Amino acid sequence: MVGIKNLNQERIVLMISILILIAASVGLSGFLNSANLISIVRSISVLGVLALGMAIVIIGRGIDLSMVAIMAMSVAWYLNLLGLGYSDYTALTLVILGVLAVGGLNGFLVAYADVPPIFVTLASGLFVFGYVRSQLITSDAVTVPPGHWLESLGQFRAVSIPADIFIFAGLCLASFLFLRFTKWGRYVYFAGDNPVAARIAGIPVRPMLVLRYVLSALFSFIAGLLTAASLLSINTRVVNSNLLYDVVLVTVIGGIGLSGGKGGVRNVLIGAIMIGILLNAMTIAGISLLFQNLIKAVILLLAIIFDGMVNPRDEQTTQQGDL
Amino acid sequence: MTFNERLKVWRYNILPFHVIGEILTKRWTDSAIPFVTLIVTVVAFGTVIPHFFSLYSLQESTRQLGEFSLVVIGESVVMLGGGIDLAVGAIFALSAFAAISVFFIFAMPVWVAFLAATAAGLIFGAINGYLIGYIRLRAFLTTLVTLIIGRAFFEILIVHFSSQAQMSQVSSDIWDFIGDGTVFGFSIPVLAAILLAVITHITLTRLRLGWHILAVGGSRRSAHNAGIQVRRVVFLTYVFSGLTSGMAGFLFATRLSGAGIGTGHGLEILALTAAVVGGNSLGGGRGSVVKGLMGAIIVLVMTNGLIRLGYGTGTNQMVIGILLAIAVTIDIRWLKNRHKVLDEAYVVPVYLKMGAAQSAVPGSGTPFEFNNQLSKAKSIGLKEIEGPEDVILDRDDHLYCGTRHGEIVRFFAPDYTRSEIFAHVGGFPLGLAFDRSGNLLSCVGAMGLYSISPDRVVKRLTAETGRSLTSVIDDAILRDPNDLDIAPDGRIYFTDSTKRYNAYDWMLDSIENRATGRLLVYDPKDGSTKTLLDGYRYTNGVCMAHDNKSLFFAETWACSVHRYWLEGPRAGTAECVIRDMPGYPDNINRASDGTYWMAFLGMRTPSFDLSLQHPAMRKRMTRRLPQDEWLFPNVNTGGVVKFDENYNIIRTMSDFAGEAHPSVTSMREHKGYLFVGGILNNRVGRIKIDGADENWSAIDAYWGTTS
Amino acid sequence: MIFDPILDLFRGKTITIPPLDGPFRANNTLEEAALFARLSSVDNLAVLNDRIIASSGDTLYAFDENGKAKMLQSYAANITALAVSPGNEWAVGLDTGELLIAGHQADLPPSVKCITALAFAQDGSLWMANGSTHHPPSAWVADLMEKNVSGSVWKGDPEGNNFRLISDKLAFPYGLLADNDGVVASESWRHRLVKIDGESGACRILVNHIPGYPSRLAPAPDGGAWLSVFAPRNRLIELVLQENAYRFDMMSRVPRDFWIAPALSSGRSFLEPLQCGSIKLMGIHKPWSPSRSCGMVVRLDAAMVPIDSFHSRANGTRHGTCSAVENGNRLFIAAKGDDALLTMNVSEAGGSQ
Repeated sequence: MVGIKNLNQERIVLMISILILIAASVGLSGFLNSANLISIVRSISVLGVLALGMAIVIIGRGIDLSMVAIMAMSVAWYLNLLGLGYSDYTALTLVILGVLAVGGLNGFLVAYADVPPIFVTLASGLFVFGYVRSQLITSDAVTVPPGHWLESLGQFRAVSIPADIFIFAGLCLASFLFLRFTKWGRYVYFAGDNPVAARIAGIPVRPMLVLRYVLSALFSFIAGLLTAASLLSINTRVVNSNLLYDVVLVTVIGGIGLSGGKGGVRNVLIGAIMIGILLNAMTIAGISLLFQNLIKAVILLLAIIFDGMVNPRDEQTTQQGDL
Repeated sequence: MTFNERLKVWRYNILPFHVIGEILTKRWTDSAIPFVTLIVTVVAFGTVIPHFFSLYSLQESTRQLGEFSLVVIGESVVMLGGGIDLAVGAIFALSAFAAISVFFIFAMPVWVAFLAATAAGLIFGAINGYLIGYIRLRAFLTTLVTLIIGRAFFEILIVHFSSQAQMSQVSSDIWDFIGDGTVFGFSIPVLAAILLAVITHITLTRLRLGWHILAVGGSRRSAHNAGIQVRRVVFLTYVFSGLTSGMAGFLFATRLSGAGIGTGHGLEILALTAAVVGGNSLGGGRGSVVKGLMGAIIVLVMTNGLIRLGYGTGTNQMVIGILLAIAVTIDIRWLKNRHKVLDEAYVVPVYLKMGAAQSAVPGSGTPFEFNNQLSKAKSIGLKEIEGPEDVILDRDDHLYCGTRHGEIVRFFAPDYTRSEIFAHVGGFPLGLAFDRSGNLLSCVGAMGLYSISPDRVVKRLTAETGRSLTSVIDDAILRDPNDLDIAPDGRIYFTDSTKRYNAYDWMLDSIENRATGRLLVYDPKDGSTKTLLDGYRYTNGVCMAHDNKSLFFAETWACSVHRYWLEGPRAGTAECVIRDMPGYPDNINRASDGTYWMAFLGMRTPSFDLSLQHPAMRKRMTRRLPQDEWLFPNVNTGGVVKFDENYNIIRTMSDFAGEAHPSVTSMREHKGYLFVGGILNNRVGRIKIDGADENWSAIDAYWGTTS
Repeated sequence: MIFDPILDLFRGKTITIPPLDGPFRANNTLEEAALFARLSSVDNLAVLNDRIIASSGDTLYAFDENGKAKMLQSYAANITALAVSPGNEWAVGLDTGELLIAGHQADLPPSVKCITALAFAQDGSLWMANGSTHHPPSAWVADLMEKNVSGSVWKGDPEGNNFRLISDKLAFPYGLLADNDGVVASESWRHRLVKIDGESGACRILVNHIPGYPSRLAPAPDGGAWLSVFAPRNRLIELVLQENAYRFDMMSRVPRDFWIAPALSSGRSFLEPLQCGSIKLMGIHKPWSPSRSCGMVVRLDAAMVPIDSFHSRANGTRHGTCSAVENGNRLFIAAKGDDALLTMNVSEAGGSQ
């Protein structure tokens, strides 16, 4: 039964993706053409950027539930500031400082106050949404001012491939190089696998934690910019939607374990591809949004059940407080 | 006393700062912060919102509170078991839909709707529980996924069936009553919440299932290794959470008679926040229903209050976010630092001015003058026993002593080279005495008063006394039973050295030097234990006087001996008969010539005596230095002192070089020999007393010879 | 951890002492060293005509290779400093503050009353350490407990006249080792060795954080030195040094021998302060327990860096090592707290054999 044991989540998902791809290209017309494939990739590029940031945090044994809030609210604030007449430079600087501050606060509370990341990021996400929505902007949706560079970014095409895909690919490559080939990327794995041993070995675990949350906040901001570029506005209602759960799904379904120390950019790509293909196939097949949510979630459930059965967690080695 | 000294006595001895530390040891201080937050929130919103406390307004707002509390109780139980349930929002919505559809669409009676709602919750909870408990998936991810599935299900169902439900004409008085009515002024949801809270609290604190839940949450691995069915317990917590969310959904349905796409949206975040703000610990194992309820009230009052005050979208989330962050940070920091705060606050040294003592230095010519007579004692059990605090001999001249391994060891007469373990008691057997029937009684440190029959059966006589009303710390527990003696009528007089410290940190008592030692009496006829005297600095040895009309007891840190009268005009009172000795007295026992032996555990040093007048310095010493570096009475030198009925010191024997018997805690005279033991020593010493009665033994002196 | 600077304002900084690690790693070498001679209160050592001379109280003795003592000279007060000049004359400082060189009394500045160390330079000039302006050498404990920093180092001509103040505000200079351009002095209360420039008097720290109270210095063949440490650093003593009320009370009401202060020997009287770690448990006095006294001799290399040390630990008796000199291939150590003059073989490099 060696084959079954080798079937970890990553491979299952890849197999499922291929199956859906085949099924969809065979059963659905209008699926297997270049425009549709490009739109698949485009639809997952925002999700993918978010998932990359989430992946970096999860590999380091954390989780960041504030990503969607930061994504939406930072860009909303930025656009609002532009609308109020601030110069692009000032507005961008202010917003980036804000994003860094929120990421830094997340990291600080997780690293130095020892608060579990779920609650820190949950709280900061709520706070960011609430504060910006009530104090800094006036409506749910904020539009991009005409003639802004975001507009041209959204319209950019090279070889008829939109800019978001390039940005996503670039970030993927950068993250891959960082995680695989740099010393600090390796440290992320060590800290995620066994934080106590990493600390004893001399790895600066806590500053690195702060860095990871700052990185994920920055990735959220970039994802928000991409959304604003393609939609020419940002709707803060997205914070209340399922987007956050979709991000977690994409990250986890590709095989990055929530207990940290494993996984990489490839897993994110696999997860994003599967979700992208699935969503696209379902949309073309005309399945309503409600059922799409259901199907997405059921597939994930099956995947993690299978992973739980094939790689069961041992009672003696699980960590206390491991949610 | 000078004015400065009076001031110091007032500041250090009378002002009860030590009570702060004692309060911090109590478990209910954990709830103090959430309780204060609760009061502040209710008062703040109550004053700002008009008519907040009017009966009708309260009834309406508490309806929602009741439903919310049900969900929070379920969430709390899941958290106590070490898990997390994010699916409660979906369960709530699905159960509400089940109730509405059964009642309005299928026109079934109310109780069927109730069953449908709770069944929906149970089934959903059981699915969660099965996945997390038995298949061992991660709680966070799994409930997240089931939440999405559940919400998707709910949205599909609502979109298809809500118009049908709304157009239904079905109505029922019971349905309306549950939704709008009150019983004794309480709305149904509130009553349901109170009932559930009581049941859950009893289960968690008194029933085995509740203890198992707390054990699994506290340390899952240990619970598993201890044999608890961890998977089943986890399964049941999720089932319970599903059940409570189902009930809450039913109550919601009766209240609003309808449901929409947004029903239960974000409920899981609110429930989580409420559970954590109330003080339930995040990793599991610590928390209670009361904490969950407090959190529910705080969160609901705050969110509803903000809405009623007119704050727009976003303010609610902002406030909830801040609340969650603060609550969680405080909870974690308190959890990690509680013992440090306790250490900082508990030791509150007193001011004490010791009286000048006679010198005990060799060559000083005082009756206390030390010598090397004890170094000539022959060793019994050298390196075989550890810590013989007290020694005693029976009618057959066999020697008994306690060891720090929790055993009573018997050495066989006449040469005491052969030994055996007489009984295993546990704890640290300290004082020893034989009663009329030949049972060996012992004060066992940290455990109580024990009796060992001649056939080695160990029985506990008493471990607690009456609780005094003025003590914050639970002083019914006998923390440090030290020595005992038995009166002719069988009553056992024994001492409990300190109320504030246990057998493992008794050194702190010498540094704090607070007078919490007691003399107690145990009556075997009715098994009662009574406190006779209180307020001594480390009561230690007890010895019945030769005429049995009074007893002597030692007050170690005060270096004095007291006499407590049992009969006569002064019965029931105690007086200090020897004071300001140069050493610290431990056990006191009878001598053969009508006098008494007293052991010196250690000697007074001028530096330590001076430090007793500097309580702040002693406190800083305990905070800034590790225990090994603390200043301590000199227990590297001890001895044996003999005194008579008129309290004159007759002779002193010691091991001045400190080789064989550095500190002496007990001595027993038996047929011309003196047997010497020390709690820090690894031997018993035997030395011949010149001129002593060679037929005298304590057990005969107490109980007469057997005929 | 990051809030420590704030919290320390309320709770006080932790008291730490340098650990006995590296070249200071604890051992039992001194405890096991051979006894050369019994000499009560043996304090100062020097080499005169290839023989060891030692001071015992107010008398100076010379020893042959077998440890037999011959009285050299007796003085009016206890000898507190001893040095031998290149011309084989010896200089002696007394507890009363007198300095005698080759028999005749030297002319001292009025502020010099506490001669703790003497050393002759290559050119014959005499370095002198004045430990304190408040107490004589025999009252060093009081000087430490008062936290005085009133010591000074002086330089005079070979006859012992015309002393010039080179450096002051030193915390009890207790040892001197002259070299080409100045002198190395041990500052006892600051637990360090300083290099004092002969011309300018500037001080430079050579060895810091010594885990004890350094005393006399003696040259070693390769240009290094032997440093004696007469008492260990003890955290309770360091706490008492920061507790002003208790300390002043203790100095005025408790006999000096029983202060919480370093001592040349300990454990002899039950009136001495005892710390929890020093309690004899099951007959064992732990070697690593906190102690008021210890024996320690440290070997420094040519750059004055410690490379090795010999100890007598808390459960030993050879404490109060005030002086150590090397003669031939043997090291002689004066353990004042044990009235013992010890000897050991040492190799060229400085390690013991």
